[in-house]
Amino acid sequence: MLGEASKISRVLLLAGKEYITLMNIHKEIPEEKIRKELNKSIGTITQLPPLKSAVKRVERQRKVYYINILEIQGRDVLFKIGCEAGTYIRRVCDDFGKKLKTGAHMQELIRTKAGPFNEKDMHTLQEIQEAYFLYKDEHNENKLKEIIKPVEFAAAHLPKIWIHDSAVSSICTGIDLSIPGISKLETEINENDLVAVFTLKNELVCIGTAMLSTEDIIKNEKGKALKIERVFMKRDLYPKWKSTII
Amino acid sequence: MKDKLPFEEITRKVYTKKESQTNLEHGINPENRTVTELLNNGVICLNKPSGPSSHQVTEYAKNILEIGKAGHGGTLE
Repeated sequence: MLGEASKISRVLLLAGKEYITLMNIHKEIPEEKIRKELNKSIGTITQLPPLKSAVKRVERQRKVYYINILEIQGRDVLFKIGCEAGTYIRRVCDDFGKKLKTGAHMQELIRTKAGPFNEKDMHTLQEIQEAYFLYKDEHNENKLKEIIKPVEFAAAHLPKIWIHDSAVSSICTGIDLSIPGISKLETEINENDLVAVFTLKNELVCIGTAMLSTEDIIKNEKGKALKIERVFMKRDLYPKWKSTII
Repeated sequence: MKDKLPFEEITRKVYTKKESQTNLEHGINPENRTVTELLNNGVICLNKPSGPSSHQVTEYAKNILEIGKAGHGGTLE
């Protein structure tokens, strides 16, 4: 996340993730047993964060959406796991080893999805360096523009609301969004959902927590719709509502 | 084989509450932003090499792109 876009990191931290993991089991066990036991980790799991972790070490529940075993070779198991933010894959492997009383550990881990990002969008430091060189020395910005996505991309997984130009300025000062400010909105928004708010030019204004569902926003003409959590747009980009009248 | 996160499984439609025009004098469509604007307010999905920490790799990227500020979206655990 570059420059101002650093602020969006929380949105990605809270987003669902997918990983490919190589797990090493410490004793040989039948393939069928491995499959059966790993499948049991799908659903809600309880795990204690690892010793060396950034969070408080208390047991917490996390959702595992799917596990797909890609390959089993002796004691090595390669699998893909889709899970809620804050799931420790190292723990998933440790707990697997404990349950089978064989011991197991996570040998390798790559993240293949973080919210809207997936492996197709992934670039190495070398690619970035080459693209920046092309831009700086040869004035060719195409590669760099392919690599750097606008901050809006990081909110692509959230439900969206588009607001009128006249509502932008007050949102940027942190005032909650009311129904009259809304021009368009997506369906399937539920109360308490994290929602991304855009201008009619598709610029990210802020993210907020829905105070009403899509249905309620459609039905009503007054009232607060969204509690602002974080503003991304600069204050002075859109004029104050009053100055547009004069 | 299931391989979709919850948000990927929801199909959303757009409902127009009240049609309105946007004034082209203010703001800009994200697709038309300049590289300078992207460097100051953009995101890169970086394939982190194993070895250096997320923090260190963020520093490398900052140096390559000659920018003062950058962050990362969570460590791998």
